[in-house]
Amino acid sequence: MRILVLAEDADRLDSALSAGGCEITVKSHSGEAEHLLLCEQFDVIVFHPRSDDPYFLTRMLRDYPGRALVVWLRSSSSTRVSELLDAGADEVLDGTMDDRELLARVRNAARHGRRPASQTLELGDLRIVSPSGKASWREAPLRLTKRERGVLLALAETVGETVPREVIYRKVWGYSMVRGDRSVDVNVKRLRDKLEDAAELRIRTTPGVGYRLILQVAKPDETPVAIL
Amino acid sequence: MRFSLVPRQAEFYDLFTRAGENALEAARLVQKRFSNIPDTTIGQKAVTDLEHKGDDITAEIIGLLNTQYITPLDREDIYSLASAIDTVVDYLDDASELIDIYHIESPMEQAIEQCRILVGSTEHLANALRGLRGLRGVSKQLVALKQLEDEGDAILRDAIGALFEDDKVSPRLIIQWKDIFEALEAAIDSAETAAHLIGNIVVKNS
Repeated sequence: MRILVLAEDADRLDSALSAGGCEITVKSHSGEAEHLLLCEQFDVIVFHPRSDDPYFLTRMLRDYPGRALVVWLRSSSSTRVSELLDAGADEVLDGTMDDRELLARVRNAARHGRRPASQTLELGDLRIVSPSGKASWREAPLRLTKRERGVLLALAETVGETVPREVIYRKVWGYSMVRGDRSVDVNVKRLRDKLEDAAELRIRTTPGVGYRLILQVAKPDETPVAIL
Repeated sequence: MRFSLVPRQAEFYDLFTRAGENALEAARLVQKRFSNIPDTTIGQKAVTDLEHKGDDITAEIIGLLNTQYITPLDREDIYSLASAIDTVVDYLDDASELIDIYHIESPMEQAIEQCRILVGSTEHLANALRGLRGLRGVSKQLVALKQLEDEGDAILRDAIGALFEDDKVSPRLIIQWKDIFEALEAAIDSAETAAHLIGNIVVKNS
């Protein structure tokens, strides 16, 4: 089992997991880790979340959907652990666990926590394969940027419901949106242009709040009817 | 260098008018660039070209100053005002350049507001420079410019405050936009500096 440990002062984890026969790579710098994740395949990513970056886990889930994500805390509380599990972590380890428990929990996360590496979203004739991001309309490829695809996926999660700009931004960019930032609007405008031919899909503006995706179905010889 | 005894006073006023119009054109271009991010139809080169044009006008004013025995305004006032207008365009160029340097992907409403102030300020500055010859309506333009500059200060405070309202904002975005907001404010302030110089000229010559 290949494990990437992204944490400073990871000796304890390194010795516990190496003793269990795991292949461990430790990186303290997130840039180096990002490079490794692009080039190599890991079964589990163990990381220590920085207190000043609460969306780190969100970004890891978004960017590395095929790996089990395990959080390493030096000390923990029930509140913190439940927050992390609710946010999508597959397991939370802490410094009070002995080596056998650490190893068993990482193995368990690797067995059960692995998400499907590929998911396909289909909305009418629109098809998006994540995480590769290949999108097509009636099998013709659509050239969507990473941000555009993220915005479309964020809207597609709740078709027909308004998604506030701030929520879209947090999901796609992984940070809080600054008041006045037009990033979401710019990407919605580009998406509208690129989806112009996809008549059954429309992105509607909810003034002052955000956007909603409308999916319409058209029966032969009938005007399209909004179903969602 | 030879001093000319034949006065060419009108040329000074024409050059100041051209310098003001050039600053206004640059401000309008910068406004378009900030409003249309990420559209790159108007590139930085267009702004830099106007900056070079501004340099040429300033050089012409100083060149004329060095050859004239009699000048319509105090020599030091002409020199300071020409330099101040040149600085406005320099700051506009600097602010606009940051869009490319920081690879800005989307506009920010506060920056668009700052650009509105910039266009208004340079419009009043250009009008004041146009009226310099007979000192007609100049004071009114300077008062309007000062009001806009005050509005610009409030926008800057709000813009920087927005960056720090939430501690989960991207640090990269804070660095980029704090620099841009401050660069646009520097351009607004430089228009006010030029306005102060015109105000002094009005007091001396009326």
